[in-house]
Amino acid sequence: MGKTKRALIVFGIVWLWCLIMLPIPNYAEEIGSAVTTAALQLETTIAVQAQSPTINKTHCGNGTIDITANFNVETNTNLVNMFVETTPFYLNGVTSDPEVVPIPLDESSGVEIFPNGALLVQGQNPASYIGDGDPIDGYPSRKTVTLSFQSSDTMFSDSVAVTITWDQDDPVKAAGQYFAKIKLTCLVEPPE
Amino acid sequence: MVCTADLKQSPQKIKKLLKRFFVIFGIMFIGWWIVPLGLNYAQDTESAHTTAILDVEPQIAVQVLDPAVNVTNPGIGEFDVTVRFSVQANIKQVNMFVQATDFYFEGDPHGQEIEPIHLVTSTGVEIDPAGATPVEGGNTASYVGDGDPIGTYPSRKTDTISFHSNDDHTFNHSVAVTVRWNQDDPVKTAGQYRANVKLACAVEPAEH
Repeated sequence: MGKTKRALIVFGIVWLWCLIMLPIPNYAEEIGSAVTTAALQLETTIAVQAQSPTINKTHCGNGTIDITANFNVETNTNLVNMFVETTPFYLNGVTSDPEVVPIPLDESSGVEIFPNGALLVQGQNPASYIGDGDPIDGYPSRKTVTLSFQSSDTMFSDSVAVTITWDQDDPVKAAGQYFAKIKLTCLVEPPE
Repeated sequence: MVCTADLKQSPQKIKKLLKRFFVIFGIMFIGWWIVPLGLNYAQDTESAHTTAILDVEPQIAVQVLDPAVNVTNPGIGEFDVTVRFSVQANIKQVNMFVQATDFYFEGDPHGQEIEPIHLVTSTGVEIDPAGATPVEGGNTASYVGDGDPIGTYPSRKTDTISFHSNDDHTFNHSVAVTVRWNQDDPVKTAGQYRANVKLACAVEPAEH
């Protein structure tokens, strides 16, 4: 019985092998072709860069102060979401227990986000402040809503002008050098 | 051999092992598909920041608190008149000098008939800011020569005294300026005489 069983198993294996392997040479004689599609999924990427690391402004008198910071934004998608975080001006950059009251942001003016060559598709310019942002180099910041911009090209490679307004309402504000931070954050979503 | 024997002895173990294998394989298979999908839906975020530096320049405002000071019958001899000014600056140190004129009858500096009441130049002018002290020396400024005319009145000018505010960062004080004249004529013509007193303040640019 054991030998018969082994013989049957061996026969079965040989039979299956013939079934599988023999048709191949037959088909090889015919001419055939097949097409396959290679799909390459390029993920979205984004790069944001400040055009100048520092912006200097001289101010006399009191009133509002507007400063425009320019950024380069490059992505491989044409829709970019942006928000801004920015800080008051601190005398000599001292943010903890400053002797002089910082020059506050004029929050009622919001922040103008203006990409050169892209249209605003969601939100309203100027972007309103909505609350506290993350500290920027230790400076407590305020954050705006997110605006969506669409470039006319398939890519987004534009300079973005960000205009912030501060309110210097003290006629005898201590003279000296005040520091503030401006941060532009851009987000892109993966293609559907 | 032991292993084969064990397997033969317990086919239930083989079933269990196979079951575990398929469960683990299934979990890995599902995870392999779901995790990358999840990552794809995450947003790419990038940010950059810049530093804005604002130079607030020194500023100063000087205002007279007594636009007109009336003095009646000072008598014969020297007399003082004190004029108060308000000085506001966004820097602690302020330099000050004074220009003052003689008293001219009816405010006419070109009138030849009546001699003006002259300044006492020997005593100088006292400049006294409330809440600030001279950086060095006293607060009496000496006359050093002719100043610019104030209106049409020829003036004399003092040297400059630097004052340091007791406040932090700013100078916001009233300043009393006392000028002395000498009326030495016992039969000086009666009438109104006018003189001008001018306080000039200067601040230096902040060092960066």
